[in-house]
Amino acid sequence: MTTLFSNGVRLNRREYVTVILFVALIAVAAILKPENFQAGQIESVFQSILLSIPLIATGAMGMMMVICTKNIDISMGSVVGISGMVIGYLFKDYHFPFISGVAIALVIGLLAGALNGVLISYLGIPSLIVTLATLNTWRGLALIIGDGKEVDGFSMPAQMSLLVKTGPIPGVAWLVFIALFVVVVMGMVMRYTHFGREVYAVGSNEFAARMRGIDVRKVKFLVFSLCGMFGGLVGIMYGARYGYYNPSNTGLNFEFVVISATVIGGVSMNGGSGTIVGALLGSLLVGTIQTWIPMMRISGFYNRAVYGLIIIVALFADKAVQTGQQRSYRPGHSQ
Amino acid sequence: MTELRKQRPRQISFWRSETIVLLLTMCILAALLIATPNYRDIAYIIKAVSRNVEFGLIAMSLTFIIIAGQIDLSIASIMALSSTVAALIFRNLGIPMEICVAIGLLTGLLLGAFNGFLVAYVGIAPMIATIGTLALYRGLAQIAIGDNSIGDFPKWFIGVDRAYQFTIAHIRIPMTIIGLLVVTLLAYVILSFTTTGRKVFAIGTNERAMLYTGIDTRLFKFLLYAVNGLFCGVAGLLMSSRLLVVRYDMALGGELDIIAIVMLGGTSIMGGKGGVIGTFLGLLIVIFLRSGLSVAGVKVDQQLFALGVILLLAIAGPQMASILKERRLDSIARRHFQESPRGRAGSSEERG
Repeated sequence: MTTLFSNGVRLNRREYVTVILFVALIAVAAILKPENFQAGQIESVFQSILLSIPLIATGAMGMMMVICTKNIDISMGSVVGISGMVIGYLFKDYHFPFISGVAIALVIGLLAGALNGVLISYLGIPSLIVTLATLNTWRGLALIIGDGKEVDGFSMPAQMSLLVKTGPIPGVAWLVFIALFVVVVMGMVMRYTHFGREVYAVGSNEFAARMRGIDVRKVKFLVFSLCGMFGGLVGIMYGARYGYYNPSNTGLNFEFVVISATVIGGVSMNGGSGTIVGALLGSLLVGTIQTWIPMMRISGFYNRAVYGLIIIVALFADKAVQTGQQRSYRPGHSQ
Repeated sequence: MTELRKQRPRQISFWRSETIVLLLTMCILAALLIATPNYRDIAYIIKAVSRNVEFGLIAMSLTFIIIAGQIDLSIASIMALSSTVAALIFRNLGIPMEICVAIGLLTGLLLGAFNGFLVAYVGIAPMIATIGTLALYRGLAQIAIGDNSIGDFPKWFIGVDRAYQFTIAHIRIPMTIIGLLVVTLLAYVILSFTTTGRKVFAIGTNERAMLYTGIDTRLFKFLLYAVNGLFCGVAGLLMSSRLLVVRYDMALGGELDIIAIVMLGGTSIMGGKGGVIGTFLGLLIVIFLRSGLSVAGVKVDQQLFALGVILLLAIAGPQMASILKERRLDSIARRHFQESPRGRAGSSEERG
């Protein structure tokens, strides 16, 4: 733990930008809408930000690995939807206990991710096309399973709402701790295990990684499976956070939220670079934006464009950093 | 080597992707005609086709992009944003619709050009650049008109597919279908018989080689994206004419349909392979499937499942086939090289 934080939390330039943006957002909100920061209000603002982060951060952990290997997974929102819809259905009609529901959601996520992984790594189809197909397949299946009907919080086990309402520290819910646990474990995995280092190796130079004896296909397969599993975990968290599952709504556009959180946190779409801390900071920023938009009385219609803008700005930043590096490595060699 | 030469050409001449797609199309149509008696109505099929002319148009230009080894995911979002801009200007400024249509088309062109700029000149991977613009363009349309819809267009603009029809043997055929056929024919001619078409294939096969032959690949890719944007603009306006209103969520998720159409047509996602005729047949498959499922009583949302599975099969099938084919050619080659000592020496040289 000490080593993780002694050399792990040294932010790079991209991550400082994220922190500065975060502070700037809070400052703008504090100046323009000071009423939100008075004594009775600040707690609810804080809670709202705190509760919107766990879902994004958990998803971002999976997406971060996928983007590190120079792939992308846009099926995550539908994996959240299908896993949530299945366990919601099992809770409602068969009164499954909480723990088995959790296990089932994780397994569904894992299987969905594994299907992506097989098609992408073993058949060599581009990840975007595969996940575009599974994105729609799982959404369609969720609609078939749910038959257009919503599962409300009353038919879910009591533990679901306790995840949000109670916590080991008053004011900080279990949901936050689950996400924190996932983040810390992933931080360890990416930094200290063979698998974690192999993910970076595959992302920065796949051919070199293969020549070095890394089973590139297996690494990619595992990355997509894990990403799916985190999608399943978000599926459970979604029910706890929002208290309902809706086949057409649950997890819709979640992939854009997660991708924008990941890329603004400095995980490069060119693969091979990016940190867990960066992805966490990105999630913090996007979670704050989600609360910030209604706080500033801006219409919710702006959400989607904001995510798109974040992704494109981050891509430009990536490119600028890359070009800068190339110039500094080879002085005198302009493209 | 003799064995290889003997075996390959005949297979390619018959089992080309278009033949398989044509057989598949006919199988699906036959299955539908047998399974659902309600489907045995030529007027209904024509109507179903005319409802999908927009996606067909975009599929044609997307075929070019995919053969060139690129992708554009923001197609459906460009449709929505370009027609939103046209409708908004018409409603708020009272400019005649003719000019608004031109502005809508220009918007499509510019949005496509922005994609092209990101991909060709900034050098961002096309999948990732267009996933950003997918969210951005749709989001801008959402900001512009929120949850409202804009209608009240002049009479000449609404219902283009119903207003302009001609009749053959008591069957009314909309002019839009003829337009699609003309575009398909033009696209086929350009792709097969002009240098532009050859350049598209060459970029998809080996972009670097293209660059070294002295062709400005950046400009070419940029233009491909811009033209694709223009097609999306045309499709967006056609769709708003057909639906009478413009909303931010028109053609939401349409990129799935369109990419599925192109993939089903046998165009390889890896670039360098494919054709327009296949895309047209792919369009027919998606139309038959969607309308057949509707006739069979499956809800539109639930059809996503079938469409997703079919897209998965359409990409996984050829990929598996090509992997198997490679293995078989490998084993033939290995057998051959083991037989002749000269070949073995050659192969070891290559390896070294």
